[in-house]
Amino acid sequence: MNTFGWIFMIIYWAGLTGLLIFCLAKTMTGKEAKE
Amino acid sequence: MPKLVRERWGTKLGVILAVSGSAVGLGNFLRFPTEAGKFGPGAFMIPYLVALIVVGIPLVWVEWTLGRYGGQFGHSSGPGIFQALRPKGRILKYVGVMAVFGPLAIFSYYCYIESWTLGYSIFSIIGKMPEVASAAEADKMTNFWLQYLGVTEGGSFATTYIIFLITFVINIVVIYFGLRGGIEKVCNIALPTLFVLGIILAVRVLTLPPGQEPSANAVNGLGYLWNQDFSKLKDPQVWLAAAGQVFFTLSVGMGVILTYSSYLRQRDDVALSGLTSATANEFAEVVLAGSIIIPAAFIFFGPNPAAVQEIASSGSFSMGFVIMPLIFQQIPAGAVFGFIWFFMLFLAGVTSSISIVQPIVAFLKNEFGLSRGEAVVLVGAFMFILCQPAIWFLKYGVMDDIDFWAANFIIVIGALIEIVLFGWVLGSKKGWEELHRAANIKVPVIFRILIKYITPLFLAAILGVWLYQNWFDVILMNTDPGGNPFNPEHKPYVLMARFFLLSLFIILCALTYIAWKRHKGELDISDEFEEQENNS
Repeated sequence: MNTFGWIFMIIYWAGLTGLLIFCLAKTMTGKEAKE
Repeated sequence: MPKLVRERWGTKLGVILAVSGSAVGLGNFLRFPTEAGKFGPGAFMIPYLVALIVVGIPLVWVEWTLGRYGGQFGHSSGPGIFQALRPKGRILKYVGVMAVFGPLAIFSYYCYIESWTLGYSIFSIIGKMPEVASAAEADKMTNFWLQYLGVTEGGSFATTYIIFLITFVINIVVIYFGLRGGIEKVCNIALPTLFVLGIILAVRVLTLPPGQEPSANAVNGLGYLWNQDFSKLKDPQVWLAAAGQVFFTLSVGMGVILTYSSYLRQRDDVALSGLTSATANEFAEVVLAGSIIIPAAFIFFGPNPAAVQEIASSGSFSMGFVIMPLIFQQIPAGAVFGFIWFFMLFLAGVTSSISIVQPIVAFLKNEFGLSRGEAVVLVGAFMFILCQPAIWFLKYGVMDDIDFWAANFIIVIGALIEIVLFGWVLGSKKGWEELHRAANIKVPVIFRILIKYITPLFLAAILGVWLYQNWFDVILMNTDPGGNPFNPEHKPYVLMARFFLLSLFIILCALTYIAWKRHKGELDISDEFEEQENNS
């Protein structure tokens, strides 16, 4: 895999994983979850 | 009619897992690697990312918002939800029939495919798969698969049919137990299990030693996806395929998200929930599925991109049911990993198939006032009959033709209609306000422009190009849905399937007419909720 491939994959994977964690955390702590 | 007692989701996470479960299906693990692989190395991921942002995410938000909007009037299926956008009109409820028809038609063959994964997971663990020493003997695996399906003689089709019956009963039982007691409970267990199994498989494949040549390794397999060949961005077919994959993987346009989100309360968020379910689906597809088949094929079939491209072009089922078992036989504890692979597919299938039964159950329950038990028994009997043509006439192309109409034609049109209804009938301003009602995140304003102008144009363009390039030939029976010349022997069976689908659509339109004749579009909604009553 070339350098572009590594960078693209890491950004994509990290972006998706980060977004998923953010969304789940926000869902669990959101205003409806607290009700 | 008695007052309509509404069902509700148990928890916020429950609905997200259920929608994610609906989206994460066989398409993630089988269709994605096929589509990503068949255009050659480095072609797919940039168009895929663009399509996800321009088509996928906007459609997810649109469907979640429309579903919750229609739910406040007591409707939980396409006809009622669409009609609620313009209550005095006469047409929209019939347009919404597509959101019941599509899932019904998809279930008629999807449940059978799902049963293959259950059958193969059992065969893997009990060691009933044929022993294949090398890739050169792949024909043995292909023959075993064709015998299992009853396409060629030599297998026990009774076993195949019994496994289908078990799968069918599992689906109906889950639906019988309702939203909270069935769908939500199953998804709460199945989806995390599916992710764990996917991670185990991805780690196993990525830590496999190189194949015959040192460069035939998993990292270079990943490079097939992630190295970019920018010259291929000029190929419109790649863009169409990427948009198609994004579209199918997110379960948009078929009416399932409409139904699921209709059970939300008006003070429940849809913006964050939609984004969460889409992200979970993308994680399963890009991170997990993208790390299994293509890297494994790279290791076992050599570091030759043309070989991987050829394998991908052989189709999703060939990848899943021939190539993967073959690969698992070459690695230590292959039977266990084979079981994990097929059981993961089975879980992905179940969480999707139960979601496609719910719209018709909701339609009968809400629009005709049937109890859940009555609706499920009626739907179960009807669905059972509906599943038979795809099973018995598989070798005559019936399943492929139903798949073409239900999972291609109808859902592309359905998605286009939904986004036009949101942006132009409900109105972009009101729609945007609805999306942000009780929202836990603020959606960037660029998506308002995308939803109103760009996504509908993009979808209309996709529809136009597909119609022109491929679909007219399929409709006129010049080619089969796979693009191969149409086999004249299949004609009576394909015509029968089309007559069958048309009859189904007409029946659903007639039921919609009768339902509106009875309740005039105004449902008498109880303040109580069925699940809360049952569980308190």
